[in-house]
Amino acid sequence: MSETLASHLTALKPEIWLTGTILVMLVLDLLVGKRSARTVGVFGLIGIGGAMWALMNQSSVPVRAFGLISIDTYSIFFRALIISATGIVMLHGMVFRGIEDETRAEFGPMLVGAALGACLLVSTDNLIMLLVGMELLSLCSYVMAGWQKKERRSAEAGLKYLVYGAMASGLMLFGFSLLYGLSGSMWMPEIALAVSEAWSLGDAGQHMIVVIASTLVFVGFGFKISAFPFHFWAPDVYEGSPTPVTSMLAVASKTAGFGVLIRFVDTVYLDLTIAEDWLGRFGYVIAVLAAITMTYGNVTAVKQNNIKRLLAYSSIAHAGYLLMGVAVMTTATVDNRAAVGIGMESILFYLVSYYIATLGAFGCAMAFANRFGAETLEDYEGLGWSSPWIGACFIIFLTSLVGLPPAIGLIGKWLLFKATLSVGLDWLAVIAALNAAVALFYYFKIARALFLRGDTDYQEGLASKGVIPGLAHLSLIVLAIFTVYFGLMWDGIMEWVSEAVM
Amino acid sequence: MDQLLSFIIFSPMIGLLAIMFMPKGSKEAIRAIAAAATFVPFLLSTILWFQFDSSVPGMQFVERMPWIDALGVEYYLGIDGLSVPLVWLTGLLLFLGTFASFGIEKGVKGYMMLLLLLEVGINGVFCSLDLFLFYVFWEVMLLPMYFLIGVWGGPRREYAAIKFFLYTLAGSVLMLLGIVALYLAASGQGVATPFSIPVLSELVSSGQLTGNNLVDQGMLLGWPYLKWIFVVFFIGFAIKVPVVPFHTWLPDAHVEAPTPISVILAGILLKLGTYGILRINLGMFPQIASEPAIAYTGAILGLVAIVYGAFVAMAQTDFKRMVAYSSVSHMGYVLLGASAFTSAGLNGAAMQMFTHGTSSALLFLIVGVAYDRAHHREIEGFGGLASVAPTYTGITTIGMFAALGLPSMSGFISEALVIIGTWQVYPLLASIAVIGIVITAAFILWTMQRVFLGPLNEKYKDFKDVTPREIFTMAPLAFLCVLFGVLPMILLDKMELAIESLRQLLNA
Repeated sequence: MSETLASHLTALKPEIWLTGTILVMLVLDLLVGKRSARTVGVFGLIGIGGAMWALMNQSSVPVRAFGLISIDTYSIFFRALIISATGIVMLHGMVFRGIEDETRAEFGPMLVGAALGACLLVSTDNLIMLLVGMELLSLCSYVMAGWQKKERRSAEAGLKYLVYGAMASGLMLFGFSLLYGLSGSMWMPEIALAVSEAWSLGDAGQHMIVVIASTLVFVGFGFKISAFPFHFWAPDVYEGSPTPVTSMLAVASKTAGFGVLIRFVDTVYLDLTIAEDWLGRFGYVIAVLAAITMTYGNVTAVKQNNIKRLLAYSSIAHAGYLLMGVAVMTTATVDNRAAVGIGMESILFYLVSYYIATLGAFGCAMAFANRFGAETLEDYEGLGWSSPWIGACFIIFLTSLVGLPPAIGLIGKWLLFKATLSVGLDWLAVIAALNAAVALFYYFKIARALFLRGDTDYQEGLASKGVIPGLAHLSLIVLAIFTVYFGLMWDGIMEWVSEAVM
Repeated sequence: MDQLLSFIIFSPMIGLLAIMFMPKGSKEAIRAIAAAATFVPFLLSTILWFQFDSSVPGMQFVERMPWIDALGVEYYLGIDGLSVPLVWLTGLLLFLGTFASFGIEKGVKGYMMLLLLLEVGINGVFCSLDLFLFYVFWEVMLLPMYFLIGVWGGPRREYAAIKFFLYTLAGSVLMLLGIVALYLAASGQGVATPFSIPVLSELVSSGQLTGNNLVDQGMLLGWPYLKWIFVVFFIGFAIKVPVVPFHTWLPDAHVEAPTPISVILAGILLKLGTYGILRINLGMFPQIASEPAIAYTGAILGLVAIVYGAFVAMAQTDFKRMVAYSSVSHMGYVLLGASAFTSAGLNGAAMQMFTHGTSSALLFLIVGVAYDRAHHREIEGFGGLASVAPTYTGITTIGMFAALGLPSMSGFISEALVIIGTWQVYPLLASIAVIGIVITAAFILWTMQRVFLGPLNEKYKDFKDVTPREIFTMAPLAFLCVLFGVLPMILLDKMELAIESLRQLLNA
């Protein structure tokens, strides 16, 4: 018994590291007092590094810890993205001027708490654990979104996120209860069995329950990934939150949302061959949602003037691209089961490319906000000449987000297109391709402001000196190098992704 | 040197990295490095020109190694008679373009870095034999071009830059879908290297690649997949050429771009479009390209570009806009010649790519000289410059005559070949194309007359003749215009086998 316990605890090492980090940070904050922000932050970084190290050393043999958390290559993949993103956000949060120094120390534990929730969310196939993870992630995010409590925008963001989030969680929970009523279990594989049985009975009432439950559950996930029509919170919250939080929401939270969505779809609907006509329709609905989400996000982004808001709409558009992969998974016919794997691989790869470029883009936005207080396109005019390195990094991230070579974004798009065409969703691929042209237009408004407009003279800004700001800048350059390097040498990531899917 | 092509492509990168770590202020040093960094590929491509064996068919200087195993993408380079002249022209024009850029004072560091990056992309496209690699290089060019026009351009540079970018991108994302579909068709049939252009050409032209393994047995809206792929490739390239319905980005881009960038844009970037049509559309899909309806459509599009471009050029009052529209007209000959599938037509098309590269580059340099001195480009605003700037007038005369296709000038040979080649198949179209030549002659001579002849405009009595640096950039191009007019065989011999194999493929 104790051996099993030990092995279960070993499997949860990264989570234990994270929990420990939270506690250490809280205690440190009390011990070293007001001027502790930096110290606490450094310990946070060390803790996240430890979690990352524990994760990398995790064996790829699947373990079900305590019957609730399944640790497999899939969860390792997602947790690696989430934890490393948290580390970078933590580093950026330590230098972000929008957060007051008095509250900076408390910010760390919240961030790590959100990461812990996200990690649990992507590692479970039990609905209760799923809910716990999602709520932990959400609650920490609500608080962080409203962190700048003296700023109206931030307070509004926190409240808005809370209201929408509570609603979405409620609906999702209702969907879970219907599924529980159907199957008598909270465990996804058993639910899958019950759903497939309910469907094969051919009873209209049973069908209705499955459809309603699936729709409600999808509301919850759709909220997390900000898919149309559950995206309304995103622009306001992204704009109002402190930038590190925005980048956490756009990257870690969305990654976790997709992690759980894919696992749910894969386990509940695709493990057994449920009636194909229904699945086909489900896939079609998702394909349409994907098309609307990306088009809506891109078209609306064109009109934006605030950089964070622009990136928020773009992140909605990327959710649409990612949904393409989900549409591929669900459209795959019985004789083309390989397409499920192809679809999953394409989503996971796209997530990696999205992760690098979005973290980088928000990091650059933060750097410009720190130094020049720049937030809108007008503020940005000519700043590229004063800060050429960060400006160039920004361009590289934007290139990747558009999907131009030699950035990794192209490969992500390429794999998604490949997956979409392989199941015959040609129209979706064409819409996605044309969306890239729209995306180019607004992404390059940033490039235009940075380099094409304004004076080329050097503008003095608030210089941030010291190790930590230096590290924050370095992290951007490293991310930019990754963007190009993995855009050219993506074999390794591809292998990692296919391992995660298996 | 086994890796000669790699050296040609990537040697500018060394200069780029060197410039990256130079202090912003040391403009002279940055210019010197840039000149050196473009001289190296020029030198290497000259070596390539002489080492290229025109008696051997097929690809030479092949470099091939796996790049991305998971998808069978290769790092696969090679050149044939079609690409050798273009690689050399790239080396030359980028080198001259760097010198022509010495007058730029704003953001020299960024400018030179982008110029070098651009050269990597251009040479990469001409040398790639792997579609994925081709696409990567193809798009690598966009970003530097956007900034070069957008930052260093004229008053409406923002509009021109984003328009160029959007047009090209819209074409190339569709092309990307075409590549994906081609990949799915090939890899579904178990091809190990589904991006290799030679392998795909072989499969498609022998009818082995059917696309039947794709959804709906390879049919989409009543057309086979391959035909759609052909169409999206064609649109992608046609935007770059530009073929008439897609040409509106070109005048804007040219007018706003700084002189050296116009030179490179007209001299080489446009050729990437026609090169793509010859290499991919004709070389990879000969059956589809030679379907009568498609071939005829291509010829008509070429003809429309010739006549329409010439008429619109005649109507321009802006010197640079006039040259830009004349490019549209001249590039039409390439499409017309390529659609005839005769030996003369294809040779003419391939040669026109080169001759237009030299003559239009020269014309843009000429416009640049006038603009630098007068700060305007109104054709009517000059007059009688011949009396104050004789050397300038002399060089201009060569450039203009090469452009209008005067016998003994390079443009004559290529345009005559195109007309002859087209005559054998579409006599009616060929005779209409001759009208295009007449109009071209008309507007060029008229421009000559208004700018250089007649009474001297008093405002320009102090018009300085060309400086040694300007002569250095223009003289080589003027020399080439004459050289290939007198000895076209130097060029045609290099291309002969490549064109012949293309012709056989198309007439099979």
